[in-house]
Amino acid sequence: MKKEKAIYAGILVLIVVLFFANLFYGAVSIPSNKIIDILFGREVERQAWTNIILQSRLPQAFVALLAGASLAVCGLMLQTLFQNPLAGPSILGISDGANLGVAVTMLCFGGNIGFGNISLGNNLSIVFSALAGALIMLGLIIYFSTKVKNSVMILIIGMMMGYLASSGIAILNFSATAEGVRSFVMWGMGNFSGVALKQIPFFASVIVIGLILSILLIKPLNALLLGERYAANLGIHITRSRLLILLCTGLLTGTVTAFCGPISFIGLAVPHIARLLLGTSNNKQLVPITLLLGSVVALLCNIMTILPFSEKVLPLNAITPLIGAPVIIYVIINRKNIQYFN
Amino acid sequence: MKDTNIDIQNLSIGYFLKHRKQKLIKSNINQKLYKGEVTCLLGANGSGKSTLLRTLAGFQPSLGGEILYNEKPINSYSDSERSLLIGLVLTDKIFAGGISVFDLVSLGRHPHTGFFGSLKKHDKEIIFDSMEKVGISHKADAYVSELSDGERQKAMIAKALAQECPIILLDEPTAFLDINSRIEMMYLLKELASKEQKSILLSTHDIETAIRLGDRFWLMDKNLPFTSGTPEDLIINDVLSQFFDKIQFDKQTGALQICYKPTVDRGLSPTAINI
Repeated sequence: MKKEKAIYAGILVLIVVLFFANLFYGAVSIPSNKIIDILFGREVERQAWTNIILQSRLPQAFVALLAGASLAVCGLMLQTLFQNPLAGPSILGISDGANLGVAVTMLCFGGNIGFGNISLGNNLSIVFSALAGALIMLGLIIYFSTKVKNSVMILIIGMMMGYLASSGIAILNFSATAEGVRSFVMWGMGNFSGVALKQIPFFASVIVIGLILSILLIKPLNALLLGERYAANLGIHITRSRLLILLCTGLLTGTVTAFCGPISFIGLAVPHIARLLLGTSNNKQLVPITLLLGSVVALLCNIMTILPFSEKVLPLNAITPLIGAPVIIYVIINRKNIQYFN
Repeated sequence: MKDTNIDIQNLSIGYFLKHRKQKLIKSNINQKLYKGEVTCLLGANGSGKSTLLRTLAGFQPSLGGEILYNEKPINSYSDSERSLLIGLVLTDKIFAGGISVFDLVSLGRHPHTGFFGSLKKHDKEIIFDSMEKVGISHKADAYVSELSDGERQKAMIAKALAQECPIILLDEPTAFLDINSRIEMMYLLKELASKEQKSILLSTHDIETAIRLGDRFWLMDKNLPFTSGTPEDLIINDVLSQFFDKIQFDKQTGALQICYKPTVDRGLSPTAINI
């Protein structure tokens, strides 16, 4: 109990520190006292600074906070549902499915693929198409998982499905303009800056709904630790719980992908960091910690995209593997000593 | 007359295939599960033991007949009501290595707890009590992955006890256990049945232990009708040896003797064995 409280406190402090670090540190250097002035709504001599802080850095930090939490909790739900510690939204091709959904919608309604420029379509249709793409992919994975029981094989099938979706996007993209291709490539590398200030309320409300749903699913998720038959024997309605878990992951992954691009590794790695930190896979403790830790990692990754002493910004997917991949390699190498693998 | 927990009437078990066809495994099963008794379900692989257990647990529909609990068909109970009737201990692989034994046993309280599954004082008492009864309390804080096979099985039984069901079904609870743990497990089940007045039905291949500790046998065989009785009666009346034709049972002691005569000479001459 004490340990859990200490972890909560540590994570919350980290979130606050990293959130403000995201505001104070960026490609353009702005004096700290001016940033404080801007945050308190005071006028500063350069309007550009106000714009950077309020129109770019603040929404970006906010999006990182929510997107990180979403992807992490999706990873956790998928790992529990598939009883596979190496499952995650990007590895199972769900992010790619969401991409394909968005690409198809944009081609049909915009006549042109303008990735990275979400304002093209209206928010709702983008989110719905991403959701549809993610859910179709999830449905296919579930179908294959009834045919193939081996969990490694399921991961490979998921990766193949992801490649198929990517090639679908590439084919669609072929008919797009040069500018479209460029922005698609940029978008495919992931970033938290794609959500404009006025889209934040919509983005935030969809994500918050998804996150609340994930917390409501803690009880069935815990029963599923024992597998479906035990869970059914404990009075859990398997079909309904499975559907809700899929809907929740679809909604969260779909929305995040529609706005931020396919972000790798956060969903896969954060649940492992949370489990190692907490020392339990009991979802009662794990779900909230994973959620918060997702925010920490996303905020951290977002800061790391800014190259020091230059105005260049790296794509997000260049950074997430730096944190995620070592974690995964570590848990695989040490799996004999890690309880939840056994 | 003993109190009945489950009354099986004219049950047929098997599978529904495509095109409205059925694959019948066994029909005409008429049995009762009594309170306070350990019933052992014995039979060769493929005789339909697992199908019967799955049908009783509600994982697959029966092809006909009735399973009655309290004179009501068991499928007229809702999912959540049924989770209060039958507790299960299966051979399924679980993904729960990373939770503590206490957490595992507390999952048994799921049918009793609210939406978030939070445990009240009363729930915790039952969980500790269940762990005490199977003798796993000293491992309450250990990870499930750190348990031996026998301890893991005990923890799953504690889970079923915490569920507070009058009936517990166990699918081969002694399958992966060494001989000492097997005997310990059977004693434990017998004690739970009589002390807690549970009906316990378990499938097993371990005839020797079952003869000594089981109260009643259910016998299944592809070619013979479903048979039941106390072990003593089944041995004295030469029924058991019909079901297990490679074993002879001593009518006084119940001891087993293998009486297998190879139909084909497999060349297992003494010299061959020595090599």
